[in-house]
Amino acid sequence: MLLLGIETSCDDTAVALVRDGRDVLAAVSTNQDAFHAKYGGIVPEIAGRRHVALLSAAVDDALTRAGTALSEIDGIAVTVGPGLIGSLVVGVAAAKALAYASDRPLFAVNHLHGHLFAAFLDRREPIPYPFLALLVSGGHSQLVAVEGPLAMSVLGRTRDDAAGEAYDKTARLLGLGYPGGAELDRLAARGDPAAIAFPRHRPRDGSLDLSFSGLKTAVRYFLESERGAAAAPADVAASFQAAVLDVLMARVEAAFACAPFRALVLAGGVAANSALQAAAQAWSARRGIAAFIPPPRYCTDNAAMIAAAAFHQRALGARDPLTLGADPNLPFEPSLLNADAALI
Amino acid sequence: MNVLAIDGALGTFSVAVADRERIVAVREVPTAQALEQGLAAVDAALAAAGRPRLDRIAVGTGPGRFTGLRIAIGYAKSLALGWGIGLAGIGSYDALEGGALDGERLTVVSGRPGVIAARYVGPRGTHVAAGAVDAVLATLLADVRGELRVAGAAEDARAALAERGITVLPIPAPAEPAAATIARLAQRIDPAPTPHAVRPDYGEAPAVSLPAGKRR
Repeated sequence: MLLLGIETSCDDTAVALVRDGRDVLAAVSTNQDAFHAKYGGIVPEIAGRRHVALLSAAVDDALTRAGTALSEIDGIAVTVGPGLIGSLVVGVAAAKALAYASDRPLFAVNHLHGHLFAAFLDRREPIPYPFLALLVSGGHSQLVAVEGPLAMSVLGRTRDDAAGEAYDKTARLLGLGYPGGAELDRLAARGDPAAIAFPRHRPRDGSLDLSFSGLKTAVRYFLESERGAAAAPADVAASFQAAVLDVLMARVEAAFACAPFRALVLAGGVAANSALQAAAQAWSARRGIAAFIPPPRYCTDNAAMIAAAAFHQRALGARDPLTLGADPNLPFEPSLLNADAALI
Repeated sequence: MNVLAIDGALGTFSVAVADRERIVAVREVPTAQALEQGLAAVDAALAAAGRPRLDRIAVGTGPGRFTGLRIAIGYAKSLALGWGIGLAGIGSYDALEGGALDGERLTVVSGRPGVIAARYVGPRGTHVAAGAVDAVLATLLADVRGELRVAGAAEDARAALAERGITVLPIPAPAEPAAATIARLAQRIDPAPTPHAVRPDYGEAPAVSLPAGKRR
């Protein structure tokens, strides 16, 4: 089954063609970082405008690269939320009209569910249900138990800042560019992770929830201190990153103590972090449990993961109606997918 | 020539099908429902028109309502791509004027409260501006006094025009949804080289300011 995926939930205009939820025939993505960098963050109005300008050409480009035509695809998958409403509507409108014009089924996908299936793109292994997903991005940080394509539950989530948000804010404190997460990762590679003992969040109630605002504040106070003024930025970055990774991997360990997961899956933009990938691989080797880590192009927002999620979750079941809308606050739980969905 | 036209920038979200200059089907939905019901309106209009073989799609390119504009252009580009037919963009000023006006005139598009986008056609050419009403009129009409024909949202600018010593001679709006006018106008122009070349005109730059340290 060949699906065309469309992703416009934030600032990436992305289109992909994916066969059977795994083989990526083409993936086109036009990142807008250059348009947002001078503002120090994503400007929703600019993001929406760029999507309008770029999306149809991205669809055309993806079809050309895959050597196929709309008449040869089996369905169209699109992110319907969560995300920026001004961005989501562009993708949903385009996807619906493509489905209508080509008389192909339309599949609505939760952006976060897309991330859960990104690690299985371009790989042959069967998906090892049940698995634990560590979903970490600029907007989300959560541990998800995935028992099947539509059977998943959140075991722990951030109580304040998302991991990626903490990276970006700390990068700003260090005077790094935007987006700051990748810059901080590169800087940290040259620093001493034990140079500064930043705090690690440990919930007293034994939950698997996460928190990063205290860490971010500790970095700010440190940088405002005499010792901080004299500290090497690389040491600050490495010590901050060590604290984040300690918290994330401690929760992973705790989650595996709760249930017999068969694998750990990293997902989300922060999964592209080299230190997190190394920590997950080391954990996997030590525990003898498989770790699925997507390549960087599938960690950040992309459309291949949307087509993959549609294949695994929807393509064999229900299609969505052309009255489909967008929901910027779409809940994570799969049971809340469009109630008007009809059987093919 | 059979044209399917879509507009989300002006008033309601509207769809029309034209056979040359004759409008054979029109559908409207509230702008707030453009995403959910807009494509159903397209289908209903095509069904009412007898599902003709379309030669072209036309879309309103603004300025006007940002979200409606995005949705209409998103639909139009995908339909043009999916059906392999041309796409023509028609601006809101032309749609409000009905394409039949000449001579000196001001055409006004409503924006957020206190904000308009406007086009002035006068002896020294055609100029557009968008923003606060007073600022737009100061930009476009610095030397204009007396009577002035005004199309579109004349009421949005009437008081500010009066303060500038300008008396409004309102031009009646087309007695049809914007998509119908756009369907007619699209008969008279060539489509864009590709659907991707059709770009929205938001009138205003995005409402955003640089962080304090980056201002010049």
